[in-house]
Amino acid sequence: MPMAELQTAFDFPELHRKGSRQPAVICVGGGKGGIGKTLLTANLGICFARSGIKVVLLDADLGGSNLHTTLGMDLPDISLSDFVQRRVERLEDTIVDSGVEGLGLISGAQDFLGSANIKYTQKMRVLKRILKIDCDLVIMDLGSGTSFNVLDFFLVADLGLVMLVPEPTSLENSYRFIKSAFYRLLKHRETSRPILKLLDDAMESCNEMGIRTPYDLIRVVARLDPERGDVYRSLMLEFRPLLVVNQVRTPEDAELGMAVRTACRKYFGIDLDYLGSIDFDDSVWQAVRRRSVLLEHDPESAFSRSVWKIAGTIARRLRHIERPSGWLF
Amino acid sequence: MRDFREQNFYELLDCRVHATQQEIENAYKRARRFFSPDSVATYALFQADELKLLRQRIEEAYQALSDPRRRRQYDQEMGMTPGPLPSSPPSQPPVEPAGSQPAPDLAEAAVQDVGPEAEEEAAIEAPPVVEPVSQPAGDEPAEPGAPVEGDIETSSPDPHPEAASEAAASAPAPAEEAEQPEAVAPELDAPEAPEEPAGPSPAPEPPERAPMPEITAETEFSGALLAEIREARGISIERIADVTKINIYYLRLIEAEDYSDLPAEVYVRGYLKQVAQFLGLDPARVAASYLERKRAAGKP
Repeated sequence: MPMAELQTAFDFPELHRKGSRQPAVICVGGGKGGIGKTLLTANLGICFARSGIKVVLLDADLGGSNLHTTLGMDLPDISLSDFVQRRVERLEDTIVDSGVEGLGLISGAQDFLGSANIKYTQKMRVLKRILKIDCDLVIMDLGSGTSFNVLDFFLVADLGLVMLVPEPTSLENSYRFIKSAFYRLLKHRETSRPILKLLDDAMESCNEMGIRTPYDLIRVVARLDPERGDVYRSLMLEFRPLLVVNQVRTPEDAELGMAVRTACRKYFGIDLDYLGSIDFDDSVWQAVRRRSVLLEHDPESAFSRSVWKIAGTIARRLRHIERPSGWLF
Repeated sequence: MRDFREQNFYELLDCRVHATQQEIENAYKRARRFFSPDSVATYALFQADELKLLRQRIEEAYQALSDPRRRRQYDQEMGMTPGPLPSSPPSQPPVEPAGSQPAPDLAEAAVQDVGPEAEEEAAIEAPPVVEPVSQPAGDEPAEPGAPVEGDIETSSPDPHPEAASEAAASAPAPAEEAEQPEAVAPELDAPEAPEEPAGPSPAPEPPERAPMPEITAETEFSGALLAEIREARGISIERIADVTKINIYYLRLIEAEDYSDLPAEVYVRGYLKQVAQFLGLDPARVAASYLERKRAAGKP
C-alpha cells in the first residue's frame, strides 16, 4: 500500500476534543531495555500529531531518559523533575516543543540521583496530573524492569502496550512484566491484610504457597475468600495488555505474537490483545545514529509502515474504551 | 478462562466447538508449533514438566477430535450440544459474511482481531447450537508470512463500519467464534473437580427448547434476553454459577434486572462478561449494553 494511502487511511476523530479535558493515555512498556520502546513512543507520537490531535510524550524512564534524543532534540532544560521538586507549579509547565507540530515532550528527570526511586506520594501526584494534561493524547515511555514505579505508570494508562523482541531474554522479561503488572493491580484493589501478604509472596518466584501463575494465585485467594476469588477472576478478564512484537526478521518471528498470546492465556489466564509486529529494519539504527526521526525522513521504510498500522489500531481501541479506563484512579 | 490442566479438548486446541475437521487439523498443527519444546514463546513460561503435560493433552485432544466418531462421543459425554457439523464439506463454496473476510481460523483471526470492529462485525448472531453452519473454505494453513500482510488489510479502517456490522449480524459470522474460542465452548467442569460429589450431572439436554431469540446489531441485552438465550441453549443458571463461580444470587438479580443488591458496577461488568462468554455472546457488547440499560434505569 502506498504510504500516502496509509497515512490518510485513518484519522482520529474520536480523539478530537469533545469537551472533555481528560486526555487518552497510552504507555509503552515491556520489562527489558533496548528493545525499541522509546523509538516506538517517539514515532507513534508523530503519527498521532500528524493526524491533527494534540499529543504530549512523557519520558517516564526516570533513571535513563532519552526520548528527546530519538526526536533529534538536545536535552531540554526543563523536565519532569522540575515538577516533582516543585520548581514549577503545573506539569504542563514542563512541556517543551518537539519541533513537530502538535507534539510536546515532557523530558524525564535527569538531574537528580535516585529519580528512579521517586517517593510514593510524589509519584501519585505526577500520575494524577498526567491524567489532567491539557491535550488529547499522552504517550508514556516506560523504563525497563518491573519496579513498582514502572508498573504504576503502566497501570495508570488507558492502554498499556507490552513490547518484546524475538529473544528468550525479552520473552522472559515480558511474561514477568505482565504478571507483575497484574499482581500490582490486584494490590492496588486489595485491603485485606492476609491477601496483601499473599500477593507479596506471590511476587517471589519461589514462594511457599507454590503460586507460580495468576491462576494459582486466584485459586489460593478463592479458598481464603470465595468472594475475592470472584473479584479477581473478573479483574483478570478485564486486564488486557496490548502486545507488540518488534524486530521481526523471519516468518517464525511473525507468528510469535500469536504464540505468546496463546501461551499467556493458557498459563496465566491473561488474554493479551495482539496489536501487530514491526519488521526489523536496518534503517532504524542508522536513523538513531543520525539522530533523525525515521518516520519523518523515511516514511516508506518498513518500520514507518508498521508504526502507522499500529497507530491505526490503537486509535480504534481508544474509540471503543470508556475513558478513563486506567487501573489506578 | 481456565488453566490448561482443566481445559476441554476444544480449548486446548484453541478452536471452536463447531470447528470443521480441517480447522481441527490446522489448530493442532498450530498448537504443536506453539508448544514445541524449542518454541521461544513457551520456553520462557512453562516448566519442562508442565510443557510435557500440555503437549500430551494436546495430543489427546487431537486424537479424540480428529476422529468424527470419538468426537461425537466426547461432545456427548461433555454435555456439549451435539453439533450439526461436520457434515458440510470444507470444500463447499464459502458463504461470504458481509465484511467478506475469509473465514478465519484462530491464526487468521488473530490477524483480524485488530479492532473492536472485528467484534462488532462478527455480531452476535446465531447460536452455533442450532445453526447449520456451512463452513467457508478459507482455512488453508496460515502462511507464515500471512499475519503481516493481513495486518495491513485490517488496519485500514472500514469505510462503512455500521453497514458492515448490520450485514454481518444477519449473515453467518464465524469470525466471532474463532476469535474467542472459549466463547462458544460451553465451559465444563474440570473432570477431576473433587468438591462436587453431588452425583451425575443432569441428563444432557431436555428434548424441548425455547427458540433462540433473534439477535441483531441493535439488540439490547436485557436481563430477560440473557435468560432467554440461556434457556434456548439449555443451560441452567446453576450451571453458570457452578462454572463461573459467580454467586447464583447475583446471576438471578442480573437476569431479573433487580439492581438493588448488585455489587459495584466493575464487578457486575465482570460477571456480565463471564456470562456472555459462557453463552457464546460478545462479552464487551453484552456488558456495555446491559450496563447502559442499568444506568438509564437509575435515572429518574
